[in-house]
Amino acid sequence: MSTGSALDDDSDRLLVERTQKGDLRAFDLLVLKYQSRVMHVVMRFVRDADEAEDVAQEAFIKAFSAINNFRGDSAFYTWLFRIATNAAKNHLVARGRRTPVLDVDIDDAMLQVENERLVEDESPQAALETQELEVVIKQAVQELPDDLQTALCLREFDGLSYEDIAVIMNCPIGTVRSRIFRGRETVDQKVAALLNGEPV
Amino acid sequence: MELQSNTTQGAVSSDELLSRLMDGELDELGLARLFKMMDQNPSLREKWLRLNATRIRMHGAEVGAPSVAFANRVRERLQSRKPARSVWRSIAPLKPFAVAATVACIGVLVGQQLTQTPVQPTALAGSPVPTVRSMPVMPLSEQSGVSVVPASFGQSERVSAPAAVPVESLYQELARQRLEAYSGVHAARGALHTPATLMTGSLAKADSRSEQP
Repeated sequence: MSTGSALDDDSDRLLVERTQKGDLRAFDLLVLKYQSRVMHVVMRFVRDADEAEDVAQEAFIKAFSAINNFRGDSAFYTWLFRIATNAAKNHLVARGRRTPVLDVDIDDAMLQVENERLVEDESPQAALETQELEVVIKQAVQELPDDLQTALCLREFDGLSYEDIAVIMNCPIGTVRSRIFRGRETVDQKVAALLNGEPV
Repeated sequence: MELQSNTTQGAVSSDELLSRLMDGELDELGLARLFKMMDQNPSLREKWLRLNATRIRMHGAEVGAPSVAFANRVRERLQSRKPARSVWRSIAPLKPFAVAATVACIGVLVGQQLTQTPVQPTALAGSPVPTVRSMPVMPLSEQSGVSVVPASFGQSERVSAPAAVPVESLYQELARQRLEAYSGVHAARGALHTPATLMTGSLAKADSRSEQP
């Protein structure tokens, strides 16, 4: 299964460049994008949710302060997760607590964020919402018209470029772009309805 | 299916711009347009959050319920830090003026130093002034109306703070020296042609020497 990292690279590059020029709005989009994943990385060290949120915030502040040091040698999320890991470790040291015996490798942490379900950290209500959300997304994708479903899945799961998808689906790139967009819109409408407590 | 867009500008809706940004298919211009739309419609932030949460979920990863509260707190903290930076940014356009003013101040101070230095024409011979051929080359003051040409151009030695000497004094000194030299030569030649000199002077001595065997 694709981890979505290649997709993130393309998307992040422009936002990082804008952030390096001092555009706070670009960084805001990066925070919105990575906040949940950074929280999960931090919570591997700091189990308390409130403390973890403080540490995650601190990690983003440090990332913004040091954004001009990011040269693009690695993916942005790798760089960001490393900052988050160090922030979590420093937090534990400052509190006089030991870091976990098993030192968490950054790649392992990322992989676990991608695959692990931190059920123990969720309340029953949150777990139910999570489960519902997953069902809604799956159902929404399955109910998409074939052309939208194929375009969206080739992009999301296989990580193919618009050009490759256009060749596979034998249609112009503009059509691919439109199909992916419309597929996302359809899924998002159902996700938004669920989150707002409306009937899906 | 007909989909509604929150905001549209030109042919591309803000939602489609968000979709392109997710795929790295947005250029600088498109991003600028998107930011403008987001300024007018803050709910686009929530949409961006949902789209990314959906993507993560589609890949099987677990994320909490998407909420902009966390990002809002980060943004507030960053914005509260901003004034310190904006002060420097606000005075940044004044930088050239500050540099110009500094240069002007230095120029005035140096000028005052130069004009206040006492003129010592008689010290010319002893002063460590670079020379071109045999003529002393003195720095000329601004008052003389002549542009200053550094005498040490092309030389390895540097002139350290040369004293300002008015050009009039220089010419007066040269004129005095030439007059003295001329007077000396004239006196010597005049002495050769007087009768006494002819009889007892150097010519007579020369004659007497020539008569000796």
